[in-house]
Amino acid sequence: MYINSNGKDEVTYDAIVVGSGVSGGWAAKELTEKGLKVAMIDRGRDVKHVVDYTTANSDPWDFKTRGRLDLKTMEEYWAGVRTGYTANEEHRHLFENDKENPYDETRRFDWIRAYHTGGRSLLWGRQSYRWNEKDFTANGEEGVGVDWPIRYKDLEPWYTYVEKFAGISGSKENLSVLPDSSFQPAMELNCVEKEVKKGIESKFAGRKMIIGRVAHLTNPTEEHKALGRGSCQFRNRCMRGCPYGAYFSTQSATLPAAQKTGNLTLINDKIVYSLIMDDKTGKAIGVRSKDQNTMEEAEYYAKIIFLNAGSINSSWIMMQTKNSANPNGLGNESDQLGRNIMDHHLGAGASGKWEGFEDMYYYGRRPNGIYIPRFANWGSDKRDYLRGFGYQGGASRGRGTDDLGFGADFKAKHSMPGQWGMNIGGFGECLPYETNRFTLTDKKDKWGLPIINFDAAWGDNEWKMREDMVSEAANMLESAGCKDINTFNDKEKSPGIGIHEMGTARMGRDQKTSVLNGNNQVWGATNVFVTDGACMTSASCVNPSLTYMALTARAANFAVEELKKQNL
Amino acid sequence: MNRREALQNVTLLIGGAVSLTTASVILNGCKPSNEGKEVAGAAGKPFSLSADHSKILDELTEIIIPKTDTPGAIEAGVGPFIALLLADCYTKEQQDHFVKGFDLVGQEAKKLGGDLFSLDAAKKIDLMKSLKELAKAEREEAKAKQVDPESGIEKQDAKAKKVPVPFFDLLRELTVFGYFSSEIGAKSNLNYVSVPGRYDACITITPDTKAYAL
Repeated sequence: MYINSNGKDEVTYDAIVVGSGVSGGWAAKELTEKGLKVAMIDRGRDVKHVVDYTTANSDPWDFKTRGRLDLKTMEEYWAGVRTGYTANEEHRHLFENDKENPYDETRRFDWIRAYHTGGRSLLWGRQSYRWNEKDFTANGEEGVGVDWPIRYKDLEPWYTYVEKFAGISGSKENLSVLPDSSFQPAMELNCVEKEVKKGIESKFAGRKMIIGRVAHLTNPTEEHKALGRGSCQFRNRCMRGCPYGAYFSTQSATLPAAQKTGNLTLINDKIVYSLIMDDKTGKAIGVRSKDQNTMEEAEYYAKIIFLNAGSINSSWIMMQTKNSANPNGLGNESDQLGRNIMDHHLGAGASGKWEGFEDMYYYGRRPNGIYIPRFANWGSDKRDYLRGFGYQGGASRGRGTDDLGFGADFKAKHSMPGQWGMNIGGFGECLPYETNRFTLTDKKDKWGLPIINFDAAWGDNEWKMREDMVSEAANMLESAGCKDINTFNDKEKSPGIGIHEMGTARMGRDQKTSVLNGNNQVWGATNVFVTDGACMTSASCVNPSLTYMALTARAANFAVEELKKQNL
Repeated sequence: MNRREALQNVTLLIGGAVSLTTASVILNGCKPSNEGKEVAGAAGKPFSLSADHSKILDELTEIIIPKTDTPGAIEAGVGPFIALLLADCYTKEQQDHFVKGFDLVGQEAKKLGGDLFSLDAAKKIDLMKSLKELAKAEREEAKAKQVDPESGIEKQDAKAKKVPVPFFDLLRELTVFGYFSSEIGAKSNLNYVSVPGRYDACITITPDTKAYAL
């Protein structure tokens, strides 16, 4: 075994956080602010705020193929190209080359990865919604999967806490299906969206169309400004990294907050692949890693460990942590580790044209759209499937005539604003199925670490719901006055496509049926916490990151309390 | 954006604390690329257009997007950009199909009384119309082949067999894309706003308000 030459003390911390994305950043911030010495270890390179956002200011003509996918990229980013956007030239350097990071698929799984400081917090869609009370009780009531060990009221104060720090722009609506956050000022709906809203809300009792809730600062507080964060500039180049720090990312928010404490050590390029366990106590005492460039093995030690490597990789680390007490992987008495992969199914909805408003336009590129909260199976509404979906979308104007024309007249028309169009696409809840899982194969990657095999698919419930996502979308747009309605239902898109993969180490009330308890502790290894998407017991239909933030802040608080009581 | 402007913007953005190395990384994206000619195509052989074909391509792009009170496709470098895209982004089959299109151009020009460069402006437009018709016929023929003549149902393997895009269709699509995504095309015809700074949800415009470039 490789022993760190600097001696054990230099690689010993109070806490280790594995991963630096949305949840890892939060763990590091909370633990350092509570006085712990923390090492946040990321498997990828460092990406520094602003200076490493190399394409943040680039225009279309600055890119070699101006955003078109080239054949080499299509081969190398074979999973990334499935999303239709993540492998594009302007932010490709922030996603992983799938050829270099292979995985197997018994059934297709779209696994989109970003291995570097900040992870996918730099690249996320920034849509931020609280879960509702039902989201936490539905599993228990319907006999699906296992019951959540926590309820909305357990998370409510933590939602408020993380929202104030992250900065969530949105409008107060007083809806039980979509509880309000502590908001930054809302962005505005454009002219056509306002008309569609009127149409939908007047013709469908109980339905709402609101502006999306996004982790963008629209009126930064002193706390935000002190971290160097500014207001959204409406450039909509977010995925390249924001030079203004206007949207929430590890780099813009949690990392500088953690660094301010003087308690953080950020370690890059170390692929943590298993935990070092103390067989006597059953607790973890550290992590084993491989350097992604030199292959050098290194160990790091701590009293508590937060796994925030991403829903798949946190479980991948636990699977490789085997000892006499955990022959099938850490916390895996239930055999649920790696199972119940959920995502949100999308790519089903409708679009239409809006006639009129030729003299109206907008100024600025709003990095946000509309949101139609769930109405299916809500209140007295009953469907022939479980759960529901929300819609995201928006209205915009394209450019003038595109009828295969050419010549001077065409050129002039194509320089003018075109017709208004409106589109909405569903984001549907996905149920936890034990058979949707990943396992380790005997194959190794270039670091000699096991390659993953996925075996997952949408179930009947999701397919039924999709039909409804399409017909309700068409119905609402038509009723609201849109013309030439087109529907879409992309059946090729597979689990993973929402980049909301979750559930592979679920929370529960019993170690025989779950991997984590109600405080995100691994059953049987109480000083190991998993607070990324792996911990999710069900998926809701809303975007998950805000809930990961709240769960992480809550678990970090609990961990420090327990540490003080010497319970860990 | 020229290099000096770009450097100023970068410096502004990160508060002046920019090293030369960082600046050059950021600015690398702004350099025009001429790598297209050397890049290997799908079959491993480098794809390039002959000098004659390049000249014809330039002329065709100018018919699609002519110089008016704003620059045309030639000034915006659309032809070389299309050659680059063909080399980097298209299969050998599509590349070959596109190159064959130049024969069509010669053939149709002849029918109109000469070669492409000798035709007057009106005849050049007629030529383009002919190419458009040929593309339409080609699309319909391909579609017919994919449909079972008896049942009228699309053949099972039709999706797997990707037929190349007809010459005119690809030429036109790439010319329009290449022109309006070029700095010259975007800035001279569209409303280019790099940093809007705010969002106005509903503004009133006049009939001569341009569409946004971004």
